[in-house]
Amino acid sequence: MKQLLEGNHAVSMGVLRSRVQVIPAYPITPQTHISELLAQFTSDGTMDARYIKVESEHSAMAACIGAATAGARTFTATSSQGLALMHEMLHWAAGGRLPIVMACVNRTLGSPWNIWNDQSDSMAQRDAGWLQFYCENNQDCVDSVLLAYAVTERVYTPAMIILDAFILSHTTEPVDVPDEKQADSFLPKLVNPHAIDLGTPRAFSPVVAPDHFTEVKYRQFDAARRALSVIDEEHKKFADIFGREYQSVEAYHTEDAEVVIAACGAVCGTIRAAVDRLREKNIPAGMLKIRTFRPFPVNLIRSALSGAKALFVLDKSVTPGLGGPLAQEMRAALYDTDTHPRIVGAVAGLGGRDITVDLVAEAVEDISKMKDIPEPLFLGLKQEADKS
Amino acid sequence: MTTKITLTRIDQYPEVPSSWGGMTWNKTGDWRFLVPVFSPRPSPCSVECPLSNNIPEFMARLAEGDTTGAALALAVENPFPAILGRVCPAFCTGACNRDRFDEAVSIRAVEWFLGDEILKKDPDLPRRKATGKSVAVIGSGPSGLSAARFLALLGYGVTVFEREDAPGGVLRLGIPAYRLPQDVLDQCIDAIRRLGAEIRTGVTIGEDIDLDALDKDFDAVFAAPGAHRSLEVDLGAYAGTGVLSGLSLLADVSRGKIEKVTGEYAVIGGGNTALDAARTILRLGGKPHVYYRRGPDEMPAFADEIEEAVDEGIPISYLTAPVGLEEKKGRLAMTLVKMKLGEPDSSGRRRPVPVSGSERAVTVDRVITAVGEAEDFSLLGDHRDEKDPAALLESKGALLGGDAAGSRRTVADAAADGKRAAMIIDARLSGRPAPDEAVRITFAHWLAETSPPDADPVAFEEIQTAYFKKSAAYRPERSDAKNRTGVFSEVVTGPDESDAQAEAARCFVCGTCIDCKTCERFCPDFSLTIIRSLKSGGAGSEVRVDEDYCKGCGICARECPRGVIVMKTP
Repeated sequence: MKQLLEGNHAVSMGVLRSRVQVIPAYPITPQTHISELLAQFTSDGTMDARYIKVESEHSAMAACIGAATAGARTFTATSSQGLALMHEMLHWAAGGRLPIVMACVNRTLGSPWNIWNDQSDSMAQRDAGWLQFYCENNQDCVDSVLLAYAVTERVYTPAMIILDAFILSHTTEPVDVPDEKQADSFLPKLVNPHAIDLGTPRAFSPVVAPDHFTEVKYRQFDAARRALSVIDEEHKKFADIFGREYQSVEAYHTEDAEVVIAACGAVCGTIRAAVDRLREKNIPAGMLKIRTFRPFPVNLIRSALSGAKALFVLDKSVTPGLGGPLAQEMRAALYDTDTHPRIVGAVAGLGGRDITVDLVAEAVEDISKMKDIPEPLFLGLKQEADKS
Repeated sequence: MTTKITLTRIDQYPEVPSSWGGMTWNKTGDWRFLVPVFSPRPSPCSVECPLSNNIPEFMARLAEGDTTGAALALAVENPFPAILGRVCPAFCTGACNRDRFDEAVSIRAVEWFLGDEILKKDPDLPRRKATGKSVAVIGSGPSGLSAARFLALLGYGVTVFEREDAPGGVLRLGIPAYRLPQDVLDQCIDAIRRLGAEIRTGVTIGEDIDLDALDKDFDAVFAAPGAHRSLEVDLGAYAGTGVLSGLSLLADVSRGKIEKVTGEYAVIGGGNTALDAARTILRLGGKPHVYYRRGPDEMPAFADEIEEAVDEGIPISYLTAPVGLEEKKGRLAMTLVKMKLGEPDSSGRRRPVPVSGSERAVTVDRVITAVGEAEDFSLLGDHRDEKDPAALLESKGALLGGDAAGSRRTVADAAADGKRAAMIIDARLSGRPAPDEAVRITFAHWLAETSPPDADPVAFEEIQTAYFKKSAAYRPERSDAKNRTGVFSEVVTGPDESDAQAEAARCFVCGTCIDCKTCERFCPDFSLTIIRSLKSGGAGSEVRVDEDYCKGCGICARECPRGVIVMKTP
């Protein structure tokens, strides 16, 4: 049923349709609306779930770990400092092979203090072992919750769905919320054979000594790798039921593109418009949207970029001493191939600064004229007066 | 137990890491360098109590609803809790650990309730069978009565010699009925008679019977003649009949010889006797005025007595003392001086010094003196002025106790003297070693021939207060001061069962295991089991530690609400 929903509430509706059973929650701007609506649902009986007010995000994830270990479908939401606070718990959930889904509303990490959108929080967790999905719009937000549960409950790897602060979280769009029957037909009840069974008492996430640790970690690694094909299967099932198609990597005009712009998240909407504008100027541009960031879809990226001469990677975060994370991962993915486009790592939108169609289009035009391009290229940086 | 699991290929590994076997092979006990030791210890209240009442035990039992068990636990150590619950200054409360948390437990109020329950039904006291020996007790005040009671429980025939016509000593003649009703006293004494003690009234040792005769007819003698020779006040040359000691007034009222008084009474003194005299005069129709030579901080009367007297409108003039008295137009003119406090005297209190030129006169009808009492050694007959009466008595094989033996002059201390005398006499007559004076021996231990644990009382810092909610202490109701000054009925009433139980539930039960299972619940190694506790059968409780697995983490010691577990180096 079509509703006008802000991104946060779209996530809440996704959680409602997924029949989540346990919701530990701690507020933080700009995710709080997700938890508030879920608190309303659990209190008025719309959802048959247990809402646990905890004292911090670290405790929220700890409670998710407990709930998932007990076999419950569980969810929490956070951003920025909250995500950072639960860092060790993220590793614990992933190593513990728990099918938890979390929404991360992309907000920059302080200091300095800033509540607005960039990708530094989720990027900082890319090694924690979680599946990571970047949403482009509010429809994506509601659908990604269902998809995330479907995948995580098959590969026993926790999953993070990611949406941009304010741009998606607080912006209202028309959203088609799946009805209950459809959602139930897509996402069955959770039956976790690895959960607590009182008939077979065991210790969970016990001490694993050096003689076994590598193999246990290998199982975890292998599951994350297998996830890519599972994600693909679930995308297809979803399309069959709901008529909406999702892909781990989405190409827009890449077939004949000479310069491809790659990015994650809502900025891809802007990039689509920039591509159109460039094409009007006869610059053959294209876009590669990375929807599934973890596992990093190396093969899909390689096939999508086989003809490109230039790759313009737009990061909304930057690692001091290195550059943009997406740019690094793209370079690594393309190294062992015959495809070696010129790669420009651009950084924009830090701390919520607007990325306009103009900014992207002009930057792409400029790089064809630039000799020495700094790595990374900070778009729209207020430059010093030209000394020369 | 577990078998070693060998995994050699990746496909043998489980999807999700969890244990496949138990951990009992891992004797974590090897890790410890400290060990929890189950240490039942005395409570500070019991240590302060002259009778060493087992307060934690009776509180715990009453809190559980076991009134009979609580009454028995109290009665084992306490010869007449119905009396002490009404008149004891309650040294226990001053030491109560709960005072540092919110408010001290109203221990005396609980004792009062249980004391009255004991009067309704004799508890089934543990006692020894008859020994065939007999003991004479001189004096039926609290010390003599207590000795008689405990000697009877130890299997001795007891005869108490009382010079007055009715037994009770200061309990009957010195404490007014509004503090200790006579029928309560009678019931307590009857209970002691029921245990087998004989009380012979109207017999004066040193006149009717000689002390040496007692020494011949009995296997042992305990003398508790009391201290009821009132000290005199220097009132100059006055030689008339207008001065009466407070003690004689109270005794005459108790005997029914005085039923009414009129006129203005000056009461000289600041102790319980002075206030008791003043409040009695008020109730009999007179107008008392108390004069005390030191200040309110030095006044030795019990604080609640002072409060009640003030509520009843009795004026108290501090730092005032009489220096002269003379007849004046059928009444008495008393000269008073103001005092100021100088250097401390031998009692440690600051000595009052007259302020020269501060004389003033008041007109009164009678003067009551209550400035202290001296011991009465008339039982020694011709040797009554002996310098060391205790040594003389000892040479005749007699023990001395109570107010006459220089104790703190409270009913509780007197009763404790009587109990200890009973144990000393029992030691002498049965060939047992005498109870060590330095050790706080309880009657329960004496009967069982066991020793109490040699340990310091539990300190407040050892109580885990997280398990207790703050609450106000029970405060007994006092009758309205306006309505009570014409009658001798009790000013304060004791708590009912639910109030007593609720107050007992506030007791931390310092140092005694009550099987609350906190230690069992928190032990991370499942290494603690409560084998015996107060609940499962009295003293001698035990918490067993599984030596194989206890890591010595100390959580049990930290969490025990009442400090029963102590970490020690093994």
